[in-house]
Amino acid sequence: MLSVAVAERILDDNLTVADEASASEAEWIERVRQGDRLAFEWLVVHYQPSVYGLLYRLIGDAEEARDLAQETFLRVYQKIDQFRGEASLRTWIYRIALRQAANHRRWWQRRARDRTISLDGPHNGQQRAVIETLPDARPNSEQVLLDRERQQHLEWALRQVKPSYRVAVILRDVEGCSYEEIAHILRISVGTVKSRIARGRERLRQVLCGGYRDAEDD
Amino acid sequence: MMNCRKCQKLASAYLDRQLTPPEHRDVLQHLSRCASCRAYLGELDEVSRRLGMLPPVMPPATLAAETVAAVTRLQQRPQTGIWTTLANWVMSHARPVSAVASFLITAVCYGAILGQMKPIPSIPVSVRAPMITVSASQYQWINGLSSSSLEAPSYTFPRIRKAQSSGVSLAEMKTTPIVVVAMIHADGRASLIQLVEPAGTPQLMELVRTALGALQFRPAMAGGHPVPTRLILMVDRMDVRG
Repeated sequence: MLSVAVAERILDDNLTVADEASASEAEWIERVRQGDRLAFEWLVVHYQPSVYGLLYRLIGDAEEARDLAQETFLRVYQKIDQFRGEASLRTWIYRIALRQAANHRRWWQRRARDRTISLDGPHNGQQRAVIETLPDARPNSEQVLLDRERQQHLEWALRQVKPSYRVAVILRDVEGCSYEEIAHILRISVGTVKSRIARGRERLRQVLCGGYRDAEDD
Repeated sequence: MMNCRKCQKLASAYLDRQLTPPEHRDVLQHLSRCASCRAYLGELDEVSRRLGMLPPVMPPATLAAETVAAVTRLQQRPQTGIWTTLANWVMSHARPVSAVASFLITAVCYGAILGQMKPIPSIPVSVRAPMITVSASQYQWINGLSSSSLEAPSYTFPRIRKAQSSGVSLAEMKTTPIVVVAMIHADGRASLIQLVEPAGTPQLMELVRTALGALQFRPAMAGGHPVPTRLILMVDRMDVRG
């Protein structure tokens, strides 16, 4: 794994693991600015999974999420000098990621398909549903299957929400961003963030409400 | 007094503690007495809670290494020239650049079109009128009467060269046809010899004289030299015919 490689190189560079842990985000950013490849690897290892997850849940296509996640970090590398620390690094990277997605128009071009393709349905002619391709290391038990079924249903319901509301809900409830961070990422006002989250959750509630009640009845 | 609709509209922000203190208090009061809204809030909370419990979507195992390799390639790429830098900048700002380019192209196109457009001149009728069409038989007749130069082997008929505005509209006279005998001088000037028809109209004669004065002819040529010639001109409405 790359994180192991990073750790090994840190040791090679006569740094201790403790040094890595204690190094603040600002120090890593400074090192990236100076062209330190090791620091950039740290950045990728720490932030790319969440960027990929965000893009995947927005776009619903693993390959496109992969391409965009890579492009996002190329842009991060190129534009790191422009990061002034007004927001957190994660917020800044999310903003770039969503701009990449918007620039490529893939996200928006797929809006029509959003209504016809669901995560728990066969995808791109494959027999397996997209959600089934997600890694799952948990033991195969009845409870796990039930959880998985609910998760599939939730992922499907998420796809039924208008993209502008969906991204706000994902950033808030999945990624745990604050309203202010979401406003910064999406370049909208906090009031608009509040409205989009409320509408997105309401739509999700409408889609899921019956399902939850059934599950509770069980 | 808060109603259910207002309460449910604020429910999401209530869950995230995004309400103002008065709003928060009002929602709380409403919830204390409304089971329906409590149920609604519970469902909304459940949606939010379940989203928060979604497992992370793990990226492909090789993605991080591929990204680092891509950046390394970027670092090793030779210093780009100004055009490459410009192209990269354009590509990274595709949307505003395309908007500006569209505007400029449109502006240039409109400018080119408008540049070609000129105001329509207000041409007096008399200037539009003199279209000289001459039949050979008429020339022969006139020249046969007036000049022996027709017999010259290289004789050419006079042709109108320039029609300036005389400010006279023959069409205003409402009299057709007007038959005029005119002299086309060797220097290209035209002058009135006689107003044949309608006869005895001094006012019209003066107008025709003025109109002819505004015409410039390429004189008849005989033996390579300009020669004076008499022409009979028929002015029919706005046309002047020989």
